[in-house]
Amino acid sequence: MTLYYFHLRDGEDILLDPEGRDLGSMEAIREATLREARSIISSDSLEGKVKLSYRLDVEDESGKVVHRLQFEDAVSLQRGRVPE
Amino acid sequence: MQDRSQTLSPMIDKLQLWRPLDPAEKRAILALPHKVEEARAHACLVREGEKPSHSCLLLEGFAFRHKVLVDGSRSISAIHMKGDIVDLQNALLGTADHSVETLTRATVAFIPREEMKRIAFEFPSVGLAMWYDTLVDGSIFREWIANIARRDAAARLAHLLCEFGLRLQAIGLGDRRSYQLPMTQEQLADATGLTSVHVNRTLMDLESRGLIARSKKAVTIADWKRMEDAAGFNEAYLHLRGQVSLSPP
Repeated sequence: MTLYYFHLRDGEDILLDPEGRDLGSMEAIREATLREARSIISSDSLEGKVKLSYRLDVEDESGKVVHRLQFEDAVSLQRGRVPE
Repeated sequence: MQDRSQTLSPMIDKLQLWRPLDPAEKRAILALPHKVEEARAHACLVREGEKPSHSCLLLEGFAFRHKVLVDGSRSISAIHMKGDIVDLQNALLGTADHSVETLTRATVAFIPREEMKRIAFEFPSVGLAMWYDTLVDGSIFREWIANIARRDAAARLAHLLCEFGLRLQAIGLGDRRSYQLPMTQEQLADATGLTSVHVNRTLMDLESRGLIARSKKAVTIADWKRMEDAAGFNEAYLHLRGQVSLSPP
């Protein structure tokens, strides 16, 4: 069993993951990280305020960062306006 | 270990939340044949697709019902505690349509399904109480559907925390405003349709709003009324009808 910790940073603060999670492969870690980011983005968008300046750092039990995801890279935004 | 003849008394306490039972009915419950097993945390009690020959009664500890989806993700649909007959429906339905796993170390009594049927018909008050029990289970499921379908993340978690506290208090395991929550963030996420980091951030948000305080697994609901408001919580669906003192905080 290998525990990985998902810490959420926003440039000023860090929300530490106190529990960690047992994941078997880098692929599972990448998938879980993407799901985490998208879940928060989708929930925030329902409240009308999305924060893409978060970053998720996944650390192993020794504290080594094994994966990182900027929220900006978790979704693609198609911007623009329909002309009046 | 208590007197073996009293082993099944949590089932009496639970059923009496719904209907009073007379001494003969209580004796009949205590006399149900059963075997007691100690289960470690995360032990599988019922596996989807199996044909269980026994119903399991939780004597101690916590368990949850869940389904594993095609993509491997998990959805938790109910939490169970002392006195709950976790798979009462399997006494009649036959094939388990979902799995049951322990959340913590647990003591479980396995009662043959034929015996569950027999006692329900031989002692109609017991049968009726078991019927109530499944109806209240259904009511809780409906509330959980409303939770994941229509509430935001903070309200989902606040709702789950209110329910857990009230149910613990109803069976005499604590105070609804202060208890040990035996769930990890990942399990809370699977029970609320969120993800672990999202749960972590949302609990932190509830904490910063002064609604809850946490220390390790201990949860304190600082202001029950505000917490109810944040959750949109109305305890009517638990059908406890005065079993739990809802006196002012």
